[in-house]
Amino acid sequence: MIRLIRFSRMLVLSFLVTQQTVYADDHPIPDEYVYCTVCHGILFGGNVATAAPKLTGLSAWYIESQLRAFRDGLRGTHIEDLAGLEMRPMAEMLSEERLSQVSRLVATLPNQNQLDNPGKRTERGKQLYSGCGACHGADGRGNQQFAAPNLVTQDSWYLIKQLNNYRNNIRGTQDRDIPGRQMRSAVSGLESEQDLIDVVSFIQSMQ
Amino acid sequence: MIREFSRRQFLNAIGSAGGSAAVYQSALALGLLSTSHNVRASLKPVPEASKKVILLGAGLASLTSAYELERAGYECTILEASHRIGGRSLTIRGGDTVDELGYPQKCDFDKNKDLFFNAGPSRIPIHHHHLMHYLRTFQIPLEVFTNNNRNAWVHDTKAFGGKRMRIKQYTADARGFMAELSSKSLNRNDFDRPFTDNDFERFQAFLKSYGDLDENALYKGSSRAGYQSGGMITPAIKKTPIDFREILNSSFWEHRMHWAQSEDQSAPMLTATGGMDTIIDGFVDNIDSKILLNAQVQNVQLHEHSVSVSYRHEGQLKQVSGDYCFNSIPKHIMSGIPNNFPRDYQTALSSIPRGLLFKMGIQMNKRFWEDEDIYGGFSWSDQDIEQLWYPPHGLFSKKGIMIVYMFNDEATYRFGLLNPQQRLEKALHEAEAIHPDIRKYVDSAVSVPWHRMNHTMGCTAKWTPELRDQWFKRLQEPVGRHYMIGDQISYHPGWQEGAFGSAHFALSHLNARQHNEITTHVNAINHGQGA
Repeated sequence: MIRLIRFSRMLVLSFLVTQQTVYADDHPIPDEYVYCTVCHGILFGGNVATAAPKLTGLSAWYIESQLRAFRDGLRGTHIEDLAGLEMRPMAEMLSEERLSQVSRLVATLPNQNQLDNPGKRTERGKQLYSGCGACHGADGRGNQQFAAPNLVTQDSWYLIKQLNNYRNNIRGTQDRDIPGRQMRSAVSGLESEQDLIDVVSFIQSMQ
Repeated sequence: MIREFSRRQFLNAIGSAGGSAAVYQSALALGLLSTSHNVRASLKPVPEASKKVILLGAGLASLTSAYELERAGYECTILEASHRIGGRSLTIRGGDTVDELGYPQKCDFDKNKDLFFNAGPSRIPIHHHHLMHYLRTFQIPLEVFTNNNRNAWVHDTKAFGGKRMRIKQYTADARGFMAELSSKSLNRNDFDRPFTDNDFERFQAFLKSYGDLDENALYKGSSRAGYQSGGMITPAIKKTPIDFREILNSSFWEHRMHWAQSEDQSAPMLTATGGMDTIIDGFVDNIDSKILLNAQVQNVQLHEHSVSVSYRHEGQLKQVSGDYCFNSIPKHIMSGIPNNFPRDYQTALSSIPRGLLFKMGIQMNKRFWEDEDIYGGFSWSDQDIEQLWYPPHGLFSKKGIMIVYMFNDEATYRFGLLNPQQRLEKALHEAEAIHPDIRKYVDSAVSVPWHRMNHTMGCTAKWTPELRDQWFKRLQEPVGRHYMIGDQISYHPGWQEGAFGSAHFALSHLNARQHNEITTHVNAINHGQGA
């Protein structure tokens, strides 16, 4: 029995190792965007240590809309939002052309499937998500019509952080940020930290 | 009969009473042991170029490692992501680029040997023995660094009506009042035996001396505060002591007053003449290893007998393999670089928060502080600017670089969010409380928020006691043939000595396993799988 457990554990480990072995060979990042990878990770796979989200798995239109939001001061202005405040001057540096170009580039990079902390899918999570599906889709993959991004490829630490930013009036407070304001009212149904974990676990289970 | 003990016999006697620690301490005191510190790496040689080490990052930890490894016959390759060698041991001069993410800056200082800005380390504690060892080895020119200047100013928004006060006056009056109050509240009967009458008298005398009290144990001002006037050809007039309540209201005594007594800040301190990057030059001049700049690591893969590293260089993806890898990439950046580390090791890398640190260098077209009897050292404020440095070199010359240095998290956070022009404006606005005319002397400024610098994104590693318990050993030990190094893997983050200590730890570990290969090998594999 012990041997069996040890064997299955080794399988899991080798699986994880294979998953992480993604080489950058096939997807060269142009020199002018290398600085993005310092925080967002070499393959834009995100880095919790620099609080920079995973960008692979997101559509070009969403990445572009968020770069604009940072550039135009709809995101990254709240004093408690260090990562957002750090991002804002980066977006301000981008010309219109570069802003679209880098968004398209990142959208073509392969999604890295491994999520940070897939929690358990629960009935409570499913119930909480039912209100989200209207915009983000029943499958969680987003809908450009509603400016709602794909959620299922995102790490839980980032989803929880952003839900908290909406709940704490850090994000979605600007008049011109219409989707952000909608999100801020949408999160009122999430009452506890456990609610956040449940809904994010459900979102990740849809991947 | 008088029997004379030899020193050796004396030690034996102590040893039987107090154990070996007592012998060791006494031996030091008697001068029988050398007090030189074990700062040599002493690696056993390997056949020339038979073993290869890949070093990631070109800061002091990597440079030291390469220096020592080369001498033992290892072949080394250093990969550095940025455009320069030295990491945070950075000295900025006119014409240099400051590679801050979002706000790249160009330094506009005049080209002059004294007009430089040590944006990273700038002072050398003499008990940092590894550092001193390499400074001696490379014969780096040094000079004394003034870290505490009693003529500089204390400024406190909550005391003295916001008016600046000489540090010497504050310190002398604080001690005087404290000594007087202690003396008044002393009651002989409160002291139990064996506190004798003689002890009590000696203690009263101690207080008088400590606070410069008069014969009645009252504080009436002190020459230690600096005279109000006179003292040479006219009688000296003491300054009127400041109101003790004002001292209590101020925050200077909370930690700033004692700063220069802390282990790493106490006099005398040293600095490298002409800029701290001469230390980097010392290493570069003495190593032959290849150092590739603009070589950003893309992937680190551990194998049973080697480590392979992919990196981008001149638009191409390249790969290099070695028997070992020494990695000084900041742990919070390494956690975003693909790898096949065990999961707990990867978690450890991403779990230690990155610290915030800010320095700004301002070129002043007049050394106006010298008119205020200030030569080196710094003034203190309870505002965000915290420390305002006066250059200890280039005395009497025309211009000088002042430095604003802060390490308080909240203040650093606020400064880091501003753009460089706004930072200068805020610094000058606050500095006006100390030097009202400061604006008219400003030529130009550069600022370095280390938590926003490209390829760095933090200083220092924010270890808490809990994080130390959980992860320090895991990151200090190698994983397979890969060692994390740098000040981040030390108990002295933010100091060059931490980087040296960490490098030497890894070097001696490597040395031991290299000469006992089989045993270590099995351990290394178990280590990886045990995660």
